[in-house]
Amino acid sequence: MKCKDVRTNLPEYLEGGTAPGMKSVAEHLAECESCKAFSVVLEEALHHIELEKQTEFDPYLFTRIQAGIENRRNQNRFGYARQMARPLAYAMVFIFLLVAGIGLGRMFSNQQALATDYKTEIFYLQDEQSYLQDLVSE
Amino acid sequence: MIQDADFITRLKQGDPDAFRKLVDQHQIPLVRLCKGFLHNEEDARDVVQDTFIEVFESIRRFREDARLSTWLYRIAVNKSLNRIRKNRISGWLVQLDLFTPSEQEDGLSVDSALQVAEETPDSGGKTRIIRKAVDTLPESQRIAFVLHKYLDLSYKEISTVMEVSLPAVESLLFRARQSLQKKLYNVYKKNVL
Repeated sequence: MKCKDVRTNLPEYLEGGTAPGMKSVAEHLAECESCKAFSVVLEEALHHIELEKQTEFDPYLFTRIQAGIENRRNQNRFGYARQMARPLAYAMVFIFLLVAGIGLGRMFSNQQALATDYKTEIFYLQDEQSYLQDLVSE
Repeated sequence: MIQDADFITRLKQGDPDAFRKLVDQHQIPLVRLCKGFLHNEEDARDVVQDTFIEVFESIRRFREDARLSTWLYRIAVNKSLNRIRKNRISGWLVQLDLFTPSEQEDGLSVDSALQVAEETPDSGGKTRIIRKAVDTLPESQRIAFVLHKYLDLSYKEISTVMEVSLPAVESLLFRARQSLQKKLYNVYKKNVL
């Protein structure tokens, strides 16, 4: 069996696989130092997983779960109001900006109209002045 | 583990003793399962706590055509994957802040883990490499691998949890093992392990 084929079958071999090719894997590992060394690496990886699996029973987990459930219940009580609060706030800000914009727009257009009125008045005054000057010269 | 109609009925009625029994029976397998994804005891226990809270709130919707444990494992897997995504996003946001160097391990590729391991060729570096090799598996392979190696579920049980066929589970686990073997062999070739 070639080293590459051994490596392909190595994970199953290390997990206690019983497929027909496993005997050939064992025979190859007995002869090939490189594959043997790599099998040690893979075994270490599997061992690491076994170590990581170790965990202890937590006697306080149920208490914490109950506290978590109670917290969620309290949050849900104001849930509807909280759900509506944000869109309402956005709507009010939008309305405020709209009204402010309209107000500013009117103020600006009033100022322009006022300026236009002043210009018109000045124009008529100038016109009247030239008329009077013409009268005087006559 | 007890799964009878009476027990499920009591759970649906909100019987606290039944719920406590459920928590006590499934606590350790669920923490193992979550550690397979998160590699962190504290995060794993947080996710397990969230899992049980969700179970309590949605037990009335539990259809009794599947085992309770199957349903628990599915919820725990989804919550673990969501926590990983959330941690990844937080890691990116921290890295965007140039003045706050990230200390998180998440986000390291196998190659980056390899670089770190070359600098720290102790058992911590090896652990990092092995974890990253598992973490960089495609999602469905990773789920199948964790269910098999961390929960010791049979292929049939895995197919029930993942809702895929038995041949699909065999294929996923085969590919996961091959992928891990190749990644670790690449590292071995560089004489780090």
